[in-house]
Amino acid sequence: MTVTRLTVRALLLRRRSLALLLPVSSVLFFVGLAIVRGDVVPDIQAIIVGRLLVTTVAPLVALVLAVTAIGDERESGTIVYLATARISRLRIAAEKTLAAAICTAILLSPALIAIVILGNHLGVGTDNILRGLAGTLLVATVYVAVFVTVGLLLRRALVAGILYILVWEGAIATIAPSAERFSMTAWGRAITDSGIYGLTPDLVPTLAATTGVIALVVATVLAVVLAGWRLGRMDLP
Amino acid sequence: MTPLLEFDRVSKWFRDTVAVGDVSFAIEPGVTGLLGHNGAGKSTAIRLATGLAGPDEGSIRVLGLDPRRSGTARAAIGLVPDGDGLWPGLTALGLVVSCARLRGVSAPQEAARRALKTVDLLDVADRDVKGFSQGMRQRVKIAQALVHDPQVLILDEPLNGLDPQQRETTIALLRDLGNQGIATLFSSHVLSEVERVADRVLVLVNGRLVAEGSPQGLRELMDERPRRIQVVTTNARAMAAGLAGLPGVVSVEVTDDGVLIETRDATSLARTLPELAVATNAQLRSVEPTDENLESVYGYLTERARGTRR
Repeated sequence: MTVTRLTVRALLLRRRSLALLLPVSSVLFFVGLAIVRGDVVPDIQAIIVGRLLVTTVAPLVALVLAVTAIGDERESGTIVYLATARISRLRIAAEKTLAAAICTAILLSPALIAIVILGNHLGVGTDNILRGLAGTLLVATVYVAVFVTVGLLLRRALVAGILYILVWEGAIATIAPSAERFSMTAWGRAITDSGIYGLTPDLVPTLAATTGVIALVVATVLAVVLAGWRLGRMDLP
Repeated sequence: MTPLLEFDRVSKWFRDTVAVGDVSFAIEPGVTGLLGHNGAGKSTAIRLATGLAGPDEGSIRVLGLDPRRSGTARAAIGLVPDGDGLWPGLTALGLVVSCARLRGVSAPQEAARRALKTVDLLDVADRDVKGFSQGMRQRVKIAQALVHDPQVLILDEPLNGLDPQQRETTIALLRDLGNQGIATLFSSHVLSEVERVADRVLVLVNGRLVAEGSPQGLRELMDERPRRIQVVTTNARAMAAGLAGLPGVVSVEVTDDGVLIETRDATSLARTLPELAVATNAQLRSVEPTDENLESVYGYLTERARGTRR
């Protein structure tokens, strides 16, 4: 796991990584606001966890860390030490994904703690609190895997990723029910929100939680395999 | 016997530019210098040799295996890249241990200490590489390349940016490694450096291998080439008339302030010029070779390789 260790260290030592705490703090803000206002409707859980954390914050953090995980190594030239090692390119891609997912989880941890507090405040039950945590982490992992791959395919992966998150995931897939089948965050919301009773119809996921889990796991595996394939065929500096 | 590293008619293009064109060579134990000016294709050749890039044509073999596909082939190579990048937040020991682990070394700590001792950095093994000088960082890079006891050591411009003392230390280290039987390939654009270290030299010009052999052979080849010498004198026409027809003189041209001579025998010309100046009542103000830089040497070798040189 040397690649994972080196990548986690490099990602967490970057000062720019700390800037990602800014979007994370938005979750803390809205959780605090809900508690102060004394809101107890279950929709609050679906809006803050499903719509804010899973749909926007976790993808943004995952996107930046995923693109940086390999991008920084290519830029600094340290990737040659990995690429000339005995290990396969697939393993490099898998360990890079794991490292970026670990860092994403670390940076999201204040938000994860906040949604546990929110769940307790709203009384949604331990089951739904755990679904919220699992769904967020699974979405973050699939985003990391997909954007490690996109980072190997496109020069402007960060711009492409932000557009994807805002336009497809943030707008189209939350409005058009038919688009949900092709939305990674909708798969996540299927996990985080499908067990909450009393949601207004607009917030009830159309997909089952099991479908969400399977889709996220399959997409993660496919993305890692594609990243390994791409890394094996590309010329490195 | 299978060569340790072999290029067989290898070509690599970047769009319309030929980075490496139809290059074939094999590397055996000892030090081989890869000589060429900037942009000659040295770094591309090194990237191809280490599997970082794939050839468009031809094949590259390390111990008979494709370094792009075979972990065994890559494990036989130690690479010292040209770039200065090292992972942040690591001590010299931590960095070399990490590289040992990446290459599957069974006792990484011991191997890393041995490698750091080889490059004379064991005393500072526990210091963060961030505070190291460029020479020390270069030695860390060499240590990480040696940590898994490679059979082939490849160094991309290892003497770049080093001060004279660091340069001497690195040259001595490369010689030692070559003497230990490691097949060492290092690139440089400085002929004198290559001459001091290498048993054999490969000369790349515009991506093509235009000469190979011992440094001495290469030097003789270069000594044989016609030299262009600019003579600044007060009586150019008389000097030119005297120079034409002298043995070894290929051409004589009168310029604004003197004579431009092309000769195959610079030593003889150096003896004749003062005598000729006296005989023609001319003053010699300066005598300068105009093509002693490496570019002109490469140019000569290229023309010779193409068969366009007289």
